[in-house]
Amino acid sequence: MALPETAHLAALLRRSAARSPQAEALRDEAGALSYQALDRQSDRLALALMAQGIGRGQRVGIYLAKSCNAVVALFGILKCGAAYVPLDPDSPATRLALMVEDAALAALIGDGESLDALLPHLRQPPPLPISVAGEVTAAGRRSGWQPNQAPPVSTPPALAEEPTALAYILYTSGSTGEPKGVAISHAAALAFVHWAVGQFALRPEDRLACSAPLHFDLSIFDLLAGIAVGATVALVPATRALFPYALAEWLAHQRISVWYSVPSALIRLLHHGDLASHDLSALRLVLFAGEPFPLRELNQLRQVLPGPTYYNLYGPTETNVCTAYPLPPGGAPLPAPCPIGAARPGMVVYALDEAGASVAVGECGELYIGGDGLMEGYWHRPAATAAAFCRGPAGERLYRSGDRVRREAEGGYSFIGRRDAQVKVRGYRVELGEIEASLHDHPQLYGAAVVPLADSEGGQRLLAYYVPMAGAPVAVAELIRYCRARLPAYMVPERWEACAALPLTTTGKLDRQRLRALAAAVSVK
Amino acid sequence: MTAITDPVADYIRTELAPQSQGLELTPDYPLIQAGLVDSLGLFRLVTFLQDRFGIKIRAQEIVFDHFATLAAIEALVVAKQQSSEEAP
Repeated sequence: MALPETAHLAALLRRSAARSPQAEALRDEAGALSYQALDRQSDRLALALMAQGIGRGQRVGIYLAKSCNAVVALFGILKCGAAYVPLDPDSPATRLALMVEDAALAALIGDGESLDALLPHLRQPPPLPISVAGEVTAAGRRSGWQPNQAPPVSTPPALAEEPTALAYILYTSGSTGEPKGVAISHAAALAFVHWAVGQFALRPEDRLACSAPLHFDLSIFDLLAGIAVGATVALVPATRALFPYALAEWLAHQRISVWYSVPSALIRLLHHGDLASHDLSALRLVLFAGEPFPLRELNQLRQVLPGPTYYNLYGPTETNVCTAYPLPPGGAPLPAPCPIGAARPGMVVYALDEAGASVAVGECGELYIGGDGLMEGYWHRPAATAAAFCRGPAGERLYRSGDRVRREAEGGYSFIGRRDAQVKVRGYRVELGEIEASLHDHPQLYGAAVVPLADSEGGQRLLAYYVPMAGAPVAVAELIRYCRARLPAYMVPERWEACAALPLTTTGKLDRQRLRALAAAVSVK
Repeated sequence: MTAITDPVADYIRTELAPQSQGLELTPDYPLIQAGLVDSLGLFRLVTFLQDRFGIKIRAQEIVFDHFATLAAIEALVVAKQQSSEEAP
């Protein structure tokens, strides 16, 4: 399906709303929203933001549970010319406060309850609290806005087409102990959307399940590519996300045709969803990304659900999807590990050795990524941005991924592991250093080190080794409370071991290899 | 607290969510929404309930309404125990 020539993401919504105003754009637990309603409501919000002087060059936070309203907020912010910054409603307020201040948000869109909880944690001046209806909200007061009542605005906001303008900032775990904002331009997001729409032949009849939260870049595919073609995007209800049988039932009932998630969500569906008992005949495409998919479970899934086409997609938040691997049809055998494939059109990837030379076929190197999907940089962090990029063989800007890959004979790559102390926990990228830095600040600890442990879902869990100060015993419950107040739940270690000292290498660095060997003896119960 | 909710609360505190050790888990505490029971913890909890109370929980019974709170879990366990007593 051909998309309009535009440099503005919100033009995709405008076009879909003009073509099929009554078609269902979004569905959440509370109901559905048509393209016309989504377009008009986000117009109204954009005008309300602009009336407050908010627009180009500014950033607005979204602090809402995933819902039709959150998507209205997303497009409203884009239409006024600002960039959206999704804040995870499940993260502790102290961590969100770091992001709000780092991004210097001009406004924060939430509801009364959520804003009440967050605003007291912010130093002056806090962003302007705004409801999805566009009203400035006083703390403690909820707006009586009715989602489907949206008369057209007399003059919809003009979309300023500026390709390098920021569309969104996604915060990821940073090794210094503070989250880093990955800043993505309209042009980079549009390049991804154009590729995805063509590669996966998305069409208005499709029904996409949106399973990832807004602060996770998998949601860019569902929301932006889905809306771009006038398809229906069904937001996975929070009450079903954790319950595989209920989720499978919902997939069947919603006639979902496109699914995109981390592998662990698919593995839960496979193990506990009783997939064979549900009518999933509408499902034509299953995409996964974010962590390696264990081959045994992947092959079982292809057996239980032989209908869909499967793709392994790969790409850090800094580049969004940069390589794609279509799995062979008919359940044909896969190489191990499941490859990440070759660069998508518009992107280039190289596997380079430590001297910066391309590795030979069959050899491993670090993956460097260039092309039209690259981030502009880390928000407000020129040094970190400069360190993340280098120049490629053709003088192009390349992002150094930190991922070790093997160059395959067929022209693609396979993911082997991380170069540094970064791990994936439930699909979220976690810098062990950020957890360690949090623990290091605890007044009763000399230090701590965190290592990943394999769990039975093919994912990873965290084990913390901590060194208490002499004569100052500290309870594990206290350390957990301390982490809970500073880190999102997925970053709080599950297992804790006290030790007298941490193992060091001969250069005085933390000996992670030795820690991992120690951890291998500890199993996750 | 009861002969059902007490051991379940203990299991959640010691095995699934050590971070809840300082919390008072009331019968209506939102276990799922507060993140005390996550995707992996949910199925460990199912195994615990089956072993501890001698019941069999079917896939289609593992839904939000049966696991949202200690009170909901208790109701599920009681219903399963009664239905197995009635069965010959």
